[in-house]
Amino acid sequence: MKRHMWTRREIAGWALAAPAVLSNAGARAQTAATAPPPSDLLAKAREGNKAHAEAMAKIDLPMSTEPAFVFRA
Amino acid sequence: MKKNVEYSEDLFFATITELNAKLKAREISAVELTHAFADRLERLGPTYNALAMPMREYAVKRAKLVDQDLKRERYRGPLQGIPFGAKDLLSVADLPTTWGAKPYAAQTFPYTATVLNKLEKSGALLTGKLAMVELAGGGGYRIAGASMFGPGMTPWNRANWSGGSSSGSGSAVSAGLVPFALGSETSGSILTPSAYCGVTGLRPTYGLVSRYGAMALSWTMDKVGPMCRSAEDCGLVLQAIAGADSNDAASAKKSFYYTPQYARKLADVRVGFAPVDFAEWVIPAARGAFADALGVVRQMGVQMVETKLPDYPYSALTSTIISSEEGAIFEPLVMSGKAEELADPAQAAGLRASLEIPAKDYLKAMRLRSLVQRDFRRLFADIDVLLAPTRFGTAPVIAEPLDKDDGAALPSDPGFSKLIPAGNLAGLPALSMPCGLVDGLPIALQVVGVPFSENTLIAIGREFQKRTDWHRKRPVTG
Repeated sequence: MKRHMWTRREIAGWALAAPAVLSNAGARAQTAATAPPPSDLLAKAREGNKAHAEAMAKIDLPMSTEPAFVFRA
Repeated sequence: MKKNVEYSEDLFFATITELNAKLKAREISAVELTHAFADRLERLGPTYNALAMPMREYAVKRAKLVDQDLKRERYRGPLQGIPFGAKDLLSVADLPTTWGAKPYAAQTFPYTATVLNKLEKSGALLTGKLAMVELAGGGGYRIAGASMFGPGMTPWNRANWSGGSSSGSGSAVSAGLVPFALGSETSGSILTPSAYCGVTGLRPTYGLVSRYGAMALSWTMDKVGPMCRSAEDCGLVLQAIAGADSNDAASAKKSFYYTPQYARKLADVRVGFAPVDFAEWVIPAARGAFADALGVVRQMGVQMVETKLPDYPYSALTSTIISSEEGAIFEPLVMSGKAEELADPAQAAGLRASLEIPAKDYLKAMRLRSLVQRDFRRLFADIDVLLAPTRFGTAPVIAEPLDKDDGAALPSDPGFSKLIPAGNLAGLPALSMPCGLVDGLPIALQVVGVPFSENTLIAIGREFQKRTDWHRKRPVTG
């Protein structure tokens, strides 16, 4: 079956016209109403990563334990 | 060609087997069925923010070929002529694949995802791409609106979230917009929308289904799986999409054959569960419904065994692994500044912070993951499957942040509260099936098994769905 090759203009037109995309306005309104400042969000994300590292540090890990992936040549 | 014809609602909530029987009996043609579902998907999909891109013409072209086959009695299997939808993280050659994220709104790929090629070979008809949480939520989203398509809504109440990240897949199946859909799960993204939308979802064993052509969020945790009307339908779809793929480095190189005739006798199946899940973890309003569901499972004749999960900080492990891998994957997005275009600023912040995770933390998480897998193997020496509520409550209200703390004290016994991250870490398959309605919203049970035990999970789901009709309940649509 011959494939229809989309042009950049068609794709851009689709992205702008899709009704679901228009509802993004609602999502942004919700975001604006509830989101803390970006610096607070970044600090919170960093705190989360630190807390995860601390939680993992509490577990005894035998030195012989290898990571759960295997490199294959 | 029939377009805009009125069909009975029953058609849109029929199972794959039922629709296939209608096609074979020539009660309806594949082209007619495609138009019927396309009309409904295009009309109702946007009302749930479930539709990413309609693909009617694409599907109808292929439906015509299916009709030619059916006319000549060339039967290719149960999916022949069945419309379906796919989460918009699966690529279709030269068509937009947005990953639900504005920075990728015009993105295209020159190839089609392996799972979609496999479904096309089986005669299934891709009728639309379905909405999703942006980048499958890997940055850590805090609002239901974390998507370029807007917040996904459960068809049971549009004020409530569909769940994510396979939001459109859950809503579309639930509202009868497609007979089945493909979703993906890294940690909860098939099970959660299946539970909140009242559909049956299957998370396959890691590596059983090819991820080629799917957005990578976490190379070591991503899975693609079906969301359907029944456990049996999940088996039929999984059979079509599973199998070796040289394009996927993580392929387990195994096939899956749905073989209900060879299913284990349920009397031999040992089901591990934690009573605290049902007594304390579930929200009070849902305790009666979950107790009833547990009663149905007991009546099935299985052996119920109280048990505990191995003790690990599952959420910390899961978050560290996903964040580290997604950080590497989306570094160009963060460095370009375009991550700021994401609908949820928490996602942009999470992605930025993920770039700072030390390699030693990632490796530690992956080493602990080896111990998690070892301990799950030991646990499964004494039991066959684990049973728990998929989610402890009903779908959250969209208007409220997803990380809202209601102040309630958590039970001291963790029970299976971390079964979703634990099961994903260990690469285990899971089936989520509707088991009740609470305040008009669905609740669900999950069954988790050893790797490649999908036939056992489906057998349990089938028996549960023989004895209940929660999977047949329909939301009011339109």
